[in-house]
Amino acid sequence: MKSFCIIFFLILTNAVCYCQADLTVIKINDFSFGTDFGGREKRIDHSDNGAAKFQIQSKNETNVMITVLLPRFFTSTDETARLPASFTERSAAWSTIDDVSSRISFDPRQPLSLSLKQNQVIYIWIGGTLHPSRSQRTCKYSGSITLTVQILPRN
Amino acid sequence: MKYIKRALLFIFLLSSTSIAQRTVSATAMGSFALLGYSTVTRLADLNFGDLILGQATIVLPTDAQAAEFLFNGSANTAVQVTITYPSTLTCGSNTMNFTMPNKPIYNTIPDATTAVEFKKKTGGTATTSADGDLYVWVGGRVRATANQAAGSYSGIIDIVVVQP
Repeated sequence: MKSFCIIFFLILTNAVCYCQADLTVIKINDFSFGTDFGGREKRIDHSDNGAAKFQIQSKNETNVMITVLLPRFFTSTDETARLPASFTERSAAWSTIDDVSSRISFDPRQPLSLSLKQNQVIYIWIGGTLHPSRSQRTCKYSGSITLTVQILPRN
Repeated sequence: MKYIKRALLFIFLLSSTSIAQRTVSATAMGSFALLGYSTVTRLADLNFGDLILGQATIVLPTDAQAAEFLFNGSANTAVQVTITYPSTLTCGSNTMNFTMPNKPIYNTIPDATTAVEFKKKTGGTATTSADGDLYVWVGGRVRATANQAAGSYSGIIDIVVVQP
């Protein structure tokens, strides 16, 4: 009975730890490539207003791994036309403050590991390039970027 | 009781694992609107040259003196071409009647001799080349009256090309 109580206590403790490991990821801005003609690249840098912007916050000190699911194509509204998209090692950046000058570039195609302090906020910006051909169908295109943050075990 | 303890221990371990692998995500939507790239360039004016008083002068669309335009837009695309003609050419306050006896012609290459007539004198539908090119030629007819005032007469031919 005694050991049962200990295990039950551990579970409760664990549940409390789980609740306190509050990690939030919020999309602040969608990304917009605006309007342009076909036959030439359309690029937005992470420092442009059209870049996607996310905010990560952890209530506790923790190590996290950030992965970004990037679109290979934008698709037309009726999903019959595709527009190639590409990203480079300098398409994304992160910072602990919401300011251009303090940004650190990273490759969104690769996982990014960061150590978060208690209640620290991290901002992530992601740009990219679209490659409409001369024969690209004239219409509206859309795509999505999903940012996933995984809590890593502490050392 | 022994089994309950083991079960609880298993739940605890499972729960611990879920903490280590906990993930959160957010998605940003991207948008882009692609416009049809297009230009219209005047390659040549319609030139009737020197006129003979009392006689009509006609320039066919296939003639070298015809007006020539180049549209460049989306490749292999059906476009709507509309041509507007002046009813008169002017020289100061003097005027000379202008008419359009022949339908304008078009081609995807710069060769009027193999060009195709539009369905109407005001144009119609045509399809661009793989490079997005469409050439259009326009002729016309003028008649200088017997007492036409001497001078250089001119007018404006407008071409509008709409691609979807």
